[in-house]
Amino acid sequence: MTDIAELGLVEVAALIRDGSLSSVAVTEAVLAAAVRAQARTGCFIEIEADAALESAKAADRARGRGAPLGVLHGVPLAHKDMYPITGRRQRYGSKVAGSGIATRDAAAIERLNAAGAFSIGALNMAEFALGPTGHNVSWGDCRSALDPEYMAGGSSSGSGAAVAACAAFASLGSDTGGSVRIPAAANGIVGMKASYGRISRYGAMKLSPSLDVVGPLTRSVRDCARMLNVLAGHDPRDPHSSRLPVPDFERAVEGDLRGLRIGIPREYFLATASEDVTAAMRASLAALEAEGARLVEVDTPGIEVLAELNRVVVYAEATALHSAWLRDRPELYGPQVRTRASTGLGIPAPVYLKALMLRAPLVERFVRAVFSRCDVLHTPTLPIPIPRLDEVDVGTGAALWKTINQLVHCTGPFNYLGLPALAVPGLCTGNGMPSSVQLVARPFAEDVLLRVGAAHERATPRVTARVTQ
Amino acid sequence: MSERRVSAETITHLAEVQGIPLADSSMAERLAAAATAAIAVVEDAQRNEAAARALAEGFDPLCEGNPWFDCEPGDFLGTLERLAVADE
Repeated sequence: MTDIAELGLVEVAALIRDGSLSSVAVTEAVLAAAVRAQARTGCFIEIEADAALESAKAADRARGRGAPLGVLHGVPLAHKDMYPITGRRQRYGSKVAGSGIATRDAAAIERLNAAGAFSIGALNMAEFALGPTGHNVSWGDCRSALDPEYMAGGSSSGSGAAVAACAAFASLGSDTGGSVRIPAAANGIVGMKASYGRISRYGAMKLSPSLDVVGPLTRSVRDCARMLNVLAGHDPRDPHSSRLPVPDFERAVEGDLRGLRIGIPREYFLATASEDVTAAMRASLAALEAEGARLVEVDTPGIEVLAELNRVVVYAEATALHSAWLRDRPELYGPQVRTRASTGLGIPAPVYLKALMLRAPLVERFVRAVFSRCDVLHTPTLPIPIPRLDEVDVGTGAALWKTINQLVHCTGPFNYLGLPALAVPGLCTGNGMPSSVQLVARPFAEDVLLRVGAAHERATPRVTARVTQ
Repeated sequence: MSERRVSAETITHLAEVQGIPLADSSMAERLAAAATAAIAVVEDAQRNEAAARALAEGFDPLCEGNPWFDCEPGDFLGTLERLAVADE
């Protein structure tokens, strides 16, 4: 019999709504999974069991009295420790910021609350979202839920591990260079970096406001669509929130791939890829072709500099945001994060501004060249098999930049371009860990990504064997 | 790529004037390497963009100035929204 905690987000929401399951029973199952996941992966900073059970009881009472129910009514979630929730501690994965009590909800939390969901605890993350591996010297390293010898990825490390370990039905991560997609890859789940401007960042911790995007991590594409339906939409409190209309993303999941063109990039993405990742990408493309898509090769103009331009913006803005703490309490940072948060010290202001001003012409050229030829671009999320955690434990040594650059090689360009990107699990590589496919579309075409992602999911064996051990 | 190099001494000086302590000299060296790379990549991207624009629009960027300079950072979201619609 399937453990309640292993149900999907959409499925469990329906069962709570029709009274087949109580929110309390669901929450108890998830809390039990959370305790197991914490022992195995270190995915939580704090499990808030009492508050979660109180929320579950309130949800059951609301249903009992016939109150209107949101699409996530009574569903327990957990989020990266950078989304303030009123009355809960906020730490941003660090000891630098103290452990103050939040006095307001982040906009994304407001929307999830309005849909009826609640949080069972704060999830581990790279300190201040600066790190793609899952290391955290302040709160303990987070490890993959598939195999704790391997990295959980970052910076939304806890989100990836907790969702994969069934310790939450879905989670909010954030993505500035790959921080949703890399943990999704390392834990064999689904991660969406929506278009820049699609989801309000109001109230969430900032790393690099020109690039930061809120994104959900889920165990299925359909669950991702439900989360996006709840989260997307204009918010006047976020100055970079789009007013474009929001489609029904769950309807997109139903579509087939007939008439869709999948773009295979001629350069860059597979240039440094391992043989088994390349083989997994070929298998993924064959599966999409079998589902009715047409494969076309495409050029990706300017791609080789985009990840580096992304880094220029990240480091300049991160140093600006961190300068007071770097001045007043540098010793509280982890050594690697202190170095990375200080990197903008040497980036001249004109260089930073040029990097920002180049974005519009570069995205214009990229979109016109790529998406006139295809509907979705297909790349690996990571060019290498998921590494063991000790393999990426580089501290502040000489391998620091090389390791980080390798991990964000395929993801970073799309933060700079502001394009939506979906990471979905692929076939396993030689080490037994899954590959991950990154699907990219023109701005605000998340619905097309979900359509392709769902077809990919139908055609690919699920990565579950090691999740539920 | 540009041959210009940011020195560790420059980083140490910039940190001092901003009142931000560095952990040690190796941190200054690593930040200097990152700054050198940042400057080079932006210079190259600017040059390539100017050349591409000149080729597409038929003018000499050295005579006409930096043709991409009409794009302000604040236009980025508007650019994305405009590009959301496929060219027919």
